[in-house]
Amino acid sequence: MKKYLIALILNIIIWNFILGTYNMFPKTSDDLTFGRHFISDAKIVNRIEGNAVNYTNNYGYLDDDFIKEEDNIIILGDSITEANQVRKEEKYVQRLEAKWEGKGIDLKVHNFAVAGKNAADYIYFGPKYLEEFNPEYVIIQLTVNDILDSFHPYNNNIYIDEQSRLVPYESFSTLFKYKNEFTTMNPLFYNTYVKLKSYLINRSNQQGIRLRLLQKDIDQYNIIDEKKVNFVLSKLKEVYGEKLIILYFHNISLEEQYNGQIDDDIYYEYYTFIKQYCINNQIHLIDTTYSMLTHFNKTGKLINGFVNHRIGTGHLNLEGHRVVAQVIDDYFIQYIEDRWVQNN
Amino acid sequence: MVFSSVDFILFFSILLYILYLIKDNVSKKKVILFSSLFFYGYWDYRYLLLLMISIVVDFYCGRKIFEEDSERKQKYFLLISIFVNLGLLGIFKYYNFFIDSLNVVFSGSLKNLDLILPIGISFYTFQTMSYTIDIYRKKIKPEKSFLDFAIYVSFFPQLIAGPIVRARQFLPQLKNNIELKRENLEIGFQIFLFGLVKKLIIADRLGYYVDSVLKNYAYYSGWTIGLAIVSFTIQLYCDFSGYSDMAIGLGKMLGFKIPVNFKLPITAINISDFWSRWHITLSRWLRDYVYIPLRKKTKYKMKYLVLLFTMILCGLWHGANWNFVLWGTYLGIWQIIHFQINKRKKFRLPTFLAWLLTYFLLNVSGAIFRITNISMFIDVFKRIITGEPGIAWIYPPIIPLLIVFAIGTWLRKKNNNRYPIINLNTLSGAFVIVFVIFAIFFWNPTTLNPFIYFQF
Repeated sequence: MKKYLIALILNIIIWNFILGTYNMFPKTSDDLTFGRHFISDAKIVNRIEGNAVNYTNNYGYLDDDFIKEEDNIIILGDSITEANQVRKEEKYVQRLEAKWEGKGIDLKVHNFAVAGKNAADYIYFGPKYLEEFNPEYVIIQLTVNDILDSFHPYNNNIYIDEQSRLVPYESFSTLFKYKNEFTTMNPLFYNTYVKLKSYLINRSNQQGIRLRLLQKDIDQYNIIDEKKVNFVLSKLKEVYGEKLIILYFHNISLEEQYNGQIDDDIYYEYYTFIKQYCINNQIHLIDTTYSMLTHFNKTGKLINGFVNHRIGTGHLNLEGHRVVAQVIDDYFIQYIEDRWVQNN
Repeated sequence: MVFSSVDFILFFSILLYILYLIKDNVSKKKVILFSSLFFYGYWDYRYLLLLMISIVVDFYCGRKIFEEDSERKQKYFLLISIFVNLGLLGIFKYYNFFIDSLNVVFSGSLKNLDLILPIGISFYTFQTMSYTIDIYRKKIKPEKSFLDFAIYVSFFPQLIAGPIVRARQFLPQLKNNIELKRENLEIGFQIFLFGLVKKLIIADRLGYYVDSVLKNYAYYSGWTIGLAIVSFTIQLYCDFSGYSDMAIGLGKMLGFKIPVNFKLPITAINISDFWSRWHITLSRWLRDYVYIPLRKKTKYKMKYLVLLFTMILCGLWHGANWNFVLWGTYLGIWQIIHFQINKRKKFRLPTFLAWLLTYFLLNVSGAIFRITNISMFIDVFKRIITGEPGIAWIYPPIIPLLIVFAIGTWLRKKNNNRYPIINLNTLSGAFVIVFVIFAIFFWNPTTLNPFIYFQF
């Protein structure tokens, strides 16, 4: 028994070192190229919206072919923007383009979003995007995925080094250098927690109680690490420079009288922090929150998914895509006018 | 219930505790039988009926074959046993395959049966058939105790994915007292962990890479696809042999000896050598019950045809799909070529080159095994051979995994394929075992991946 106790203590020390130094199996950026690599004639059937047939372009995105010579805007984001269950012409990206065509604005908008991607990916692939596509503007859609996967201090799967690289794919020495940079929790405890949590979530998926557990799980994320958020945002700014425009989605919860209100949980802290950061550092921010809230309270029409009293979670429905296209349009028209005034 | 799941660990711990409490041997056997049926029924209790049919029919037929004096009647009962077992296999595993093939050939529209393949059916039907055939051949006597026979067929460690245990290997063990010995528990536990490492850390990680690349092979470069194919061969080996190791370990913990199913097949120096190392219990089954009887009944000149037929059957055993038929044919042809070269003795490759060539042939066979669609198979190899440009990607964990696998294989070869058993009563032993448990806990994939051989 004594031998096993010593063996256990020794292992705790060693595993603390191993897990803290090199998280062997990072969960982001499965491959080092951009784009979702669908088989070219992949068909995705959506049960809610009807059939949406998705075809990928020459870069593997659910979009039209990309032509470098045109004035392009690329939109990076996760499943909210990718919207693979929505017919192409109804996605906010295509709606926006149609609006601009009507107004004589000659900008092509490209949906380069891929489900599950987050800020770390946009930083990592940034130079590649700029070199390959040379866009006029880059709109980066941020939401809960980014908070959980890129900004959150408990997530030590992603390290971004000084050259804006994801560290797990780089040298051992860089890993070692950054090993505790963004992690406030003991690596062994963190990994044990993550393993047990994933096990419970997987089991609860089978038992059909996923939502409740997920909610409980999300509630435990109650720490905001300003240093990490600052770092990630500064990297985005550094990589994309003046071309960067952030499009932010924040949760809205439903009150008893069928009124929407802004959530005041930990995500709200992230939301206000990110907003403030953008103001302080002159980063363009398109905030969808108030427009979506006003739209809901005024029309009573839901904008997106509905999970545990939160109407602002889940993917956008057709109404949501309409609203978001309008919000971006309003912002851009103002922005273009301001630039015109500045230049003249 | 998968061996690598928390459910199974809980189930097995409770079973061990109950066996520890019970003193009476018959009660222990009843507990083992009940646990085995529970284990099988946990997946789908309705298919317990098929297992029970196989147990009852073969127990009865075995006795009748032994009791009957006339050879005609013995043959009659043997045929009933074979008919029931192959009938179950035919309906549940091959019916839809044959109907689909007939529909393609004759442009027909015969309907498929809406059936799920009962897990482990290919293993336990082969096991029970060997029992009645051996009685018919007077190699063994029928089992008197129904309880013992039912345990033999349904013994949970090897029920779902083998090894295929012969009656003469297993039934005599049930005549001894079932005792939980500390030494057996220690050794069995280590073998079980060894299998878990193979499955969870090596096979499942490689599987992630293989699936990602082959799912979208059209986007990846030739050498990335090549690496995925090489990874699949190792994944398949670690997945299947990992399961066999776990079965052997579990059996050992309960005091039973289950035969070895793999002898480092990746080190084979020709295809015949490979078959003496890969899924040994199946290849011996096919040798004893298909190849040798057919050889005896056919002319000498036909021996290669018989071999080819056996190999095609072996392929078909693995799955009801044309790619498995092709897989068996491919390996059969290479075996025939090897026999021909060997017979002339004019030309012999140095061991390393022979291994390299065999390894290459095995990777091609792995691709046939993995890719069920013929046109995709051709596309994949076209991309590899022409070195088609595309995304070049190595999933970082596979490099250390392949290195660990290569070193592990080399060490086991040096150690005569013995399991790496350590003394758990020393501090170093305790340290290693806790380290392995930590490694399995932290490095196992979050989602549960079923064993590849479950589908057979």
